[in-house]
Amino acid sequence: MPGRGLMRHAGALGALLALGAAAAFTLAASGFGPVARYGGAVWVFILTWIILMPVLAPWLKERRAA
Amino acid sequence: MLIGLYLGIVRVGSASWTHTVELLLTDWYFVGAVAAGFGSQVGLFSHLRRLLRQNGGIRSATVMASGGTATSTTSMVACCLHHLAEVLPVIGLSGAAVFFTTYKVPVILFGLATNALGIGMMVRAIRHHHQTGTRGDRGHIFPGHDPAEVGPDTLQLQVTGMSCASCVSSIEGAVGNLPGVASVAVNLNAGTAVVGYNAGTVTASQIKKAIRDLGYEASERLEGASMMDREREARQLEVTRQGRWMLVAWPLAMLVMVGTFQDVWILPRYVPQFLGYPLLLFALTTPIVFGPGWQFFVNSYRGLRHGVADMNLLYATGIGAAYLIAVINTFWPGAGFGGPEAVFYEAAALLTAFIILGRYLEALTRGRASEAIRKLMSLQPKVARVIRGDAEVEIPSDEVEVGDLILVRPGERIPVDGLVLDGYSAVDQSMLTGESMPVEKRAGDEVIGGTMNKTGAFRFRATRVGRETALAQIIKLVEDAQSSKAPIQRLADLVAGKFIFWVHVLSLAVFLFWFFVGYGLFFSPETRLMLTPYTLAGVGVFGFALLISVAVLVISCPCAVGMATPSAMMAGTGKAAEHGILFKGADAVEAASKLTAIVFDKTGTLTRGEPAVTDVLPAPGINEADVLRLAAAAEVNSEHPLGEAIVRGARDRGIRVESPETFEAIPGHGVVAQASGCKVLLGNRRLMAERGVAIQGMIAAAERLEGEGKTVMFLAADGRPVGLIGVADTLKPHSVEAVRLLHTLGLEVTMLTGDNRRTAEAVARQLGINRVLAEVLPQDKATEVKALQARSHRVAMVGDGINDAPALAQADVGMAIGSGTDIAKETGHVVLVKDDLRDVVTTIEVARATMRKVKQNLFWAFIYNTVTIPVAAGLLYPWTRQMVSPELAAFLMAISSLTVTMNTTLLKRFVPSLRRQPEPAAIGATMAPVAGVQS
Repeated sequence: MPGRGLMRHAGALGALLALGAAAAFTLAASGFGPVARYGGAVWVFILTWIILMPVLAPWLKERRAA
Repeated sequence: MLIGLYLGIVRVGSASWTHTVELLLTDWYFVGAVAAGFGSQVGLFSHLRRLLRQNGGIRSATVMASGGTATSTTSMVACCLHHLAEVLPVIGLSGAAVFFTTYKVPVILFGLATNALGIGMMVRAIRHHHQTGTRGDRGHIFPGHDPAEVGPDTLQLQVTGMSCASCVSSIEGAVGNLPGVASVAVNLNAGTAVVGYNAGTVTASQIKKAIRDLGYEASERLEGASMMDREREARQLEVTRQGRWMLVAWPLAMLVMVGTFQDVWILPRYVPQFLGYPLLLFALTTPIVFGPGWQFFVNSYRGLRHGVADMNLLYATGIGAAYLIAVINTFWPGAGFGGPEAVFYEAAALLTAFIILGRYLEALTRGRASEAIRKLMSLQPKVARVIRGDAEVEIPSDEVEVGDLILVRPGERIPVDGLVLDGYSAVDQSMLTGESMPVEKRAGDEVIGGTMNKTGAFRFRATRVGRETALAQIIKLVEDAQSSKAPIQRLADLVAGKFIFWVHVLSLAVFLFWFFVGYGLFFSPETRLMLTPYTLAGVGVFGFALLISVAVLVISCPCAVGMATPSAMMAGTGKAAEHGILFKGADAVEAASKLTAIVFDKTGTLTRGEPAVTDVLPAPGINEADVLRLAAAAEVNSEHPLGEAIVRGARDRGIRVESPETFEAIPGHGVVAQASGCKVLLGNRRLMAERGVAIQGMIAAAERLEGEGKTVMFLAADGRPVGLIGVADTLKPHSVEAVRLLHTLGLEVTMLTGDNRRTAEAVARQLGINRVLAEVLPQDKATEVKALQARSHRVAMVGDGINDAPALAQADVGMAIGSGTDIAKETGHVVLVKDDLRDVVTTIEVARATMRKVKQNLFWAFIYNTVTIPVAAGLLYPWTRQMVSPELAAFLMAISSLTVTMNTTLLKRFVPSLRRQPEPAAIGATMAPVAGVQS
C-alpha cells in the first residue's frame, strides 16, 4: 500500500498535469463559447486526473524505491 | 520452548547509505550481543529500525521461522550467523547483523528488496540450506527446527462491499503491494480474500486496514456455522441496503421519467403537466443522486485517495455529469448545454436506479452462489444423543468427543464420524457421496457424520469430531475451491482491472473528438437519444460531447466480466460436490475440462486390489464344492493372499471350511495338509511334479486360464488330481462402463501397473483399454505420466492416492478415488468420495460444463462491451443521428450482469450423462472378468 505522503504527492502531481491538460484544452477551444470552453476544460481536468492517478502512484513508488 | 527466528530484511534507499547502515548495524550488533533481557533487545531493534527509516526512507520486512527448542541463545546466534553466511551469497545480500534475545533472534539484512519475491527467495534459500547443508545435520544449524515451518501464513478474509472485477483488482493491488505479502487471491462472488503473508513483516490488522482504506469491509473468516451466519448477515445487510435504496430510487426515477416525457405520445392525456416542470424534476432527482447515488461518490473518493480508479468512479462521473448538465440547464438555460429542453434529470435518475438494481441483483446472486456450502453445513444435526453411563444425554454435536458412545434412531442424522458397535440399519449417504441407494451398516462399519439413518437404530463410537469429520473436510475443500482462482479468471480480472483505466482514456478521446471534430461535421438538430422520441436539437457542442463521453463511461462497466468466472466456478464446484466429487481448486476444474488422456492405476483402482476365486474346474466325477472345500481346508491357516482368497471364496459359496489336522507351507510351491481324512496338495506345477501327481489332463485348461492372466493352483488328494482353481484380482463394478464412457468423451485411456505384461494385457482386454504400461515400478509412474505430457497430452491420473502420490502430483489433474472419509489425507487435485470409477466421467463432464458456462459468461460479458462501446462512442451517429443515453447505457450494463447471472443459474440444471439414463446393470461386477495375481 503506497504511503499517504506518496499518494498526496501523486495526487498533487496528477492535479498539476491535469491542470496543464485543461489549460491546453482551453487554448485549443478558444473559438468556442465560454461554457463549452470552461466546461470542457473542467471535464478534461477530471478525466485527465483520474487517468493519471493510477499511473503516477506506482511510478512514484518505483522511483522512490530505486 | 518455542523458538522464533526473525530475519529482518532492511532495504536501503540508496547505495550510499549501505555503508553507513552497515556500520550502524555492526555497532548495534555488539551492543545487542552483550545486552541481556528481552525488553532491551526489542527496544534496540525498534530503535534501529526507526533510525534506519529516518535516514533514508528504509523499509523493512521480516521472515519468521518458528519451531524447535534451543538451549543456548549464544549458540543460536552463532548458528544463525553461520547459516546466513551461507545463505547470503545465494540471495545476494550485502550484509547482515544479528540481535538476539532469550527466545527470539531478529536478524537484520540489507541490500535485498522487501517484496514478496525477496522474501520468497529468502525462504527458499533457508529451506535449500537445510536440505543440502554440508556441515552437519540441520539440527546443528537450528536445533530441532523444521525447515518446512519456514513459509508464509495464510489469512482468510471475508470482504464485503465489492461490486465488480475492478474491486478485485484494487484489493489485490493494494494488499499485494504490502511488504511481506507473498500472494493474494480475491474472489468476487464468494466475497473472500486469501492472503499468504509473512507474519513477522506484516500483520493481519495491516492487511485488513489496507482493504478497509479502499472502502471495503474486511474481517477474518470464521469457521463452520459462525462463518455462514456472519456471511449471511453481511450479505443480507447488503441486500437490505440496496433494496432500501431501490425503494427510494425507482419510484422517484419513474416519476422523473414520466415527467420528462410528459409531452410525448399519449402521456399528455394521463400525466399532469406540472410533472414535467424542471424544478420539480430537480426536486425529485436530487434525493436520488444524494441518497442512493451518494455511495458511488464516497467509494470513488476512497479509491482515488489510494490511486485506484474503480467502477464507482465510472458511476460517479456518469451520474454526476448527467445531473450537473440538468441542473445547469434548469437554472442557467442559456449556458449552452442544450437549454431548458435538454434537462437530463431522467438520465441521472434512471442511471442511478439501474446501477442500484445491478448491485441488488449481484448481492442476491452472491448469496445463492454459496448455496452448496450452506446445504452441506445444514447436514450436521444440532444435537447428538450420547450414552453416558446408562443414560442417554442430548448434547450439542459440537461437544461430542472422540470415543463417545452415540445412539442413532431411525430418521435421525448421524452427528459425527464413527464406527458402528451394535445394531443394524441402512444409511442414506447420497448427500455426501452421491450414492443413490442407502448403504447397509452393521457392527464394524464406518458411518459418516451428516448422513441420514433410514431404518434401524444403532450405537456407534465417535472416531472423528469437529474439523476432522468427513463433512467438515468436504466443506473445507468446497470452500477452498470456491475461493481459489482459475487461470482464466486471473486473465479476466487482469483485463477488467486494466479496463477501467482504458475506458477513461477512451472517454477522454471520445470527448475531444466530438468536441473538436465530430460535432462540427455530423451534428444534426434531429439528433435523438436511442429508443426515445426525445430530440436534442438545442444541445451545444460541450453538452453533446459530454453526453457521449459519459455514455462510454457507463456502458463500459465490466461488472459482468468480473462475475462471469467465479459465479460459474461456484455453481460448478457445488454441483460436483452434490455428486461426491470434490475439486480442490478452480484451476483443477479448468484443467479437468481440457483433459485428453486418462491414466488409471490398475490395482485398487480398476480392480478391487485383492485376489478372488474366479474359476473352479473339478476333475471328472468330482464337484466344484468338494474341490473348494478341500482347498479351503488346506489353506485355512495360510496367510498367503491366494490362500485367503480360496478360503473366502469357499465361505462366500456357503461351504463350511474345516480345520486341517496338519499344515505345511512350501514357499514358492504351495501347501501340503492333512484334511478331511486325506493328504491334500495345493500348489503349482512344480509341487505336483515333485510329489508325482499326474496333471496332464488339466494342463490345457490351466494354460487357458493363465492366458487370461489368472493364477492357477492344482489340487490333489492322496496323490490323485481332483481339480484346479483359478484366482485373480477382479474388476470393480462399473470399470468397463467407465472406460467405455471415457472413450466416447474422446479421451485416450491408459492403464498403468506393476504387474507382468500378460496379466496387464488380459485385464486391459476385458476393460477395452488399448494402451497398457506394464511392469512399471511405483516410482516410475510419474515418469510415465510425464512422457504422456511430453506428447502434448493433458493427463489425468486416477489412483488410490497412496502409492500413486507422485504420479497424481505430476498429472495435470490427479484424481484420488474411493477416498471415503479420508478426504484430507488424499493427494491430487480432485477427490472422488465414492469408490465408483464412473465419477471420473462425471468429473470431466462437470468440469467441461462449468468451463463452457465460464466461456459463455465471458462471451456475454465482453460482447456487451465490445458491441456497445463503439455505439456509445457515437460510431453510428453520422448515419443514424441517434445517441446512447446514459440511462440506456446503465440499462445495458445491468442487462449484461443479469444475463451472466441467469446463464450461470442454468448450470444448476446440469445432470451428468450417467444420471440421464436409467441405472444400467453393473458391468464386470463381482466375479466377472478376472486378471491374474502374482503369487
